[in-house]
Amino acid sequence: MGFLTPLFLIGLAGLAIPVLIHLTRQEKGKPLRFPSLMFLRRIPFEETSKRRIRHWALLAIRLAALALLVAAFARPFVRGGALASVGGPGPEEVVILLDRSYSMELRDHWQQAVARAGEVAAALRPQDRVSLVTFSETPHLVHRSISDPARIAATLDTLRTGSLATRIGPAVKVARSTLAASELPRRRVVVISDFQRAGWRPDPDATLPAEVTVEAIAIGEASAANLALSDLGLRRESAGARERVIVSARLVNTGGAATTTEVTLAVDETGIGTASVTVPAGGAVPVAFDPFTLTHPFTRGEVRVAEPSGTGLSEDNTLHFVASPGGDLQVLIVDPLGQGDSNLYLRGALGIAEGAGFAPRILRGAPGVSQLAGADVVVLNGAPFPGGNAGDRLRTFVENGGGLLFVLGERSTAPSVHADFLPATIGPVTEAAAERRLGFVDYDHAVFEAFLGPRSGDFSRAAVYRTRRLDLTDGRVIARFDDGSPALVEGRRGKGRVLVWATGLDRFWNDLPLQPVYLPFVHRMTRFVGGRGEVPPWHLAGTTVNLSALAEADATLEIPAGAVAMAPGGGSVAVDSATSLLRLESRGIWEIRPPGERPEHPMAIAANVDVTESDLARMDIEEFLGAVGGEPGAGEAANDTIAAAASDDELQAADFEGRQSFWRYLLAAAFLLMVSETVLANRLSRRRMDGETGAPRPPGSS
Amino acid sequence: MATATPRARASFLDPAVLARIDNLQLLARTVVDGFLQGIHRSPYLGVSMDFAEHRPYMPGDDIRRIDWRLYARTDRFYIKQFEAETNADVGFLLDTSASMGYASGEVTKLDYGRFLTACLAWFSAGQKDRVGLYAFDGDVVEHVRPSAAHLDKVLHALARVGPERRGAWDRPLARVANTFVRRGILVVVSDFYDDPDEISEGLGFFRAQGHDVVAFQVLDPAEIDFPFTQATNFEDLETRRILPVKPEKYAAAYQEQIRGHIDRLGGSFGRQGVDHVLLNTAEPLDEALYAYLVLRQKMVRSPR
Repeated sequence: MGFLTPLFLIGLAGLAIPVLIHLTRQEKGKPLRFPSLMFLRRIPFEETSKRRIRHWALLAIRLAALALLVAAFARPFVRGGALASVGGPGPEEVVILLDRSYSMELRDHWQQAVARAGEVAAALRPQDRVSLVTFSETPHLVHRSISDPARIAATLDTLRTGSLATRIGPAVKVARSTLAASELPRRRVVVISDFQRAGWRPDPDATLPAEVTVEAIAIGEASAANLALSDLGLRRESAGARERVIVSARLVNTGGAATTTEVTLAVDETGIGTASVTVPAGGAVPVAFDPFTLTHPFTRGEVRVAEPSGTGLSEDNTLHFVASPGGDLQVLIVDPLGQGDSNLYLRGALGIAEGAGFAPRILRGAPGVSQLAGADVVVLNGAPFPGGNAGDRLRTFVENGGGLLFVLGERSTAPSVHADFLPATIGPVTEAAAERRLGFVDYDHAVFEAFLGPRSGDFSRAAVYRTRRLDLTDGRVIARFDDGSPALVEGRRGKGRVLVWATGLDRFWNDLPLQPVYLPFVHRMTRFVGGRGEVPPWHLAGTTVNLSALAEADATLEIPAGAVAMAPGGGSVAVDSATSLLRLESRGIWEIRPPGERPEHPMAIAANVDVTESDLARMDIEEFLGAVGGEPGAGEAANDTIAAAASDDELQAADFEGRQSFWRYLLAAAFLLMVSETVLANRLSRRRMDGETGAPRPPGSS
Repeated sequence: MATATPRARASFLDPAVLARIDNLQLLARTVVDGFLQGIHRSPYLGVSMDFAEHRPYMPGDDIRRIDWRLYARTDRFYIKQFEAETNADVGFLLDTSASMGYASGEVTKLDYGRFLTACLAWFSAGQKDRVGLYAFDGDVVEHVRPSAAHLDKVLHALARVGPERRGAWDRPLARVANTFVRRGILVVVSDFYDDPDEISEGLGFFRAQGHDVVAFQVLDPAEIDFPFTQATNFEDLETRRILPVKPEKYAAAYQEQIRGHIDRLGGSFGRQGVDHVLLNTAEPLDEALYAYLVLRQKMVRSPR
């Protein structure tokens, strides 16, 4: 229960007035004149009798009338319970969208948000229904259209903030679908969030019907100081037989004052470096640590920034990574023309990658035993597949785990004895009348997955003039030209991998080397066939990792059957053996273990928060409400401070009070009490006058 | 002992009836005549030593004082007038303080005192006394010098006074003492709401000067019985002070107080030689008249 204008309750102090009147002026009225009080004054005066209340009923009625009057002016209302349904319009379907992104952990924002959600649920009437949707990266429908606020309250008690970023759009879509299934005449969506600017992107599908009332309850300040680590990078360098890693990151300060703090690098939970950093207000500084040597697979590391507690988010103060030693990838480039224009771009691509771990070597003829022994990948750049013993050695090399990248040119042939070894039959040179382009790319493949995102590379811009026709035999086409013919075919042979590229990697048959995608494309193909696919040192929390894809990219990775993923905060998740998908719900190091075993260095995956969530700047809520559509509700008045919540609360209260209008009943009751008080007081007064009929009257009275 | 029938006295002396008569002269005449007709014999029982003159008989005169010889000669009744009983100054001190304005019935104490004074003045004037008036509250508000021809002035002055101010005794008695110098009778009509010893001391001064003093204490029956039942605020008519009173708790104590006051007043007056007559405004005036006649008789009989 609340009051719309609680200041009027001060008037309850006026309850003392009738009491005082009854105590001190109970004999008030026309005084009885008497010749002299000289004798009465001599009589000992009894204080207690003077202050005794005689007309209790009258006093009670007066007190009740005054209390009702005060209560009526204070305009009471009830948010929950049976009374909440008094005087209201029809039943209402309410969807509460509760932001549980990690930015809500700031100070007491989460407690505020939960409290507000609880208030919204508690204010519902019995005929109303409520759904609870929590959201961060993705929405989660916790309760669908229930009429039990207690369940909502119980659920709210169990909820905590997560490690994921805010995405309001999907939550709005869930609210829309939930409301669409409702038959109740009134519909309302209450969005409780800190409304970070990064959490909302206008989405035509994330809109609500016009008849839906949208309320935005903004929690927290419009912006807040925060230190966040971002852009964690690992640069590898060879140091003899060992591999060293240089860790770097960026420290971002969104506050209004420069901050000096310490950033610590810990490897396998042992601090190995600390840097004192001063970050200007609203700026960022890079932080780099001395290199450390990778000694074992799945080395775990973290970069931590010391941020005073309570001043910013803690989730973005630590970045985790996992790194395994690899060494340079030994690449043998077999080119019958030797070191020249035919492999100029290829050599450059593999040699230019600083720290990428390629060690290319050019061979004019088929590689020998010793050469193959020290190689990881063989690139046949326009060269024919060797026949005889050389072909057998190459075949054995691949079957034992080596990689073969067959770049076709005019002289590329394959002996018939090894025709089954290649995933496709090499056909004649094809020269189309018009230039061709890549029309299909399998972005799910390890070679192309890095190009999946927007502006991550455009293969369609590369013009292809000549190709070799490929007829698939025992392999998988992962790229096709726009005429449908295979461009890149993959095959598995033993432990090794074979890729056949239907056109060259120089400028003679295409202009791919001039495209930005050339360098990463060559790197990824080489790493793929060499079993050194790019395994990112960390993933974004909230993303789903395909473990099979990881194992495919990195031949050293092995996903044990029936593997179990151990979450950073405790608990385990069984890895689906069919899909090998693992959703990284929280920040930290995830371990992939064989069931029932505790290996010394289990496979690990690092998950870090999305630092876009670290920017606490608030969006324009009115703009959000306008974009979402619907009928702007009370939250439209929310401004950029915590007072927004208060203002919103007031409007909600006004809505309740307006619907219930208890003040009318209270005023009527007060009026009835005052009438009864008048009747009773007159009766008492008449009785008193009757009692005084025989008593003396003052002179002049009739 | 002379007695009158209650009906006769009630007819002419009932204060409630008298209150309807505006003319004080008519009132006094009615009362005195009725009173005198109601009694069987005159209270004038004694004679003085020094004969002064004859005067016509008036009802109420002691028939034993009729000069039968002169009657035999003139066939008219004449009364022997002695020196002591003629030319007496009768000064009426009427308290007009605010407390005298109280009435629980139709007659205020001041009205009652006014009737009483008028009657006694009429009576005295009929006796050829010189009547004067001192109406006072905190001071003398009306003063009529004693004279045989001042009955009308006295009556007019009586008609004018009203209960207005707070009363006091010192100043009025001092002024009376300065102007009432010839030996005579001082008739004090008041409720005597003051310290009995102080009042009697003041009146004792006049006794010491050789005056006869009779004090009529006029009280309303409500002042004596305190019949109130409802708790209420009481306002003092003189001081205007207000006191919350619960009569059921106060009545007995009040009655004890007022009786004690009356007793103390009577005792003090007795010690000073002042006659004290307690009058109830609900009672007829005859007791007052009797008391005055007794006093007058005593004065006639007592040597000066």
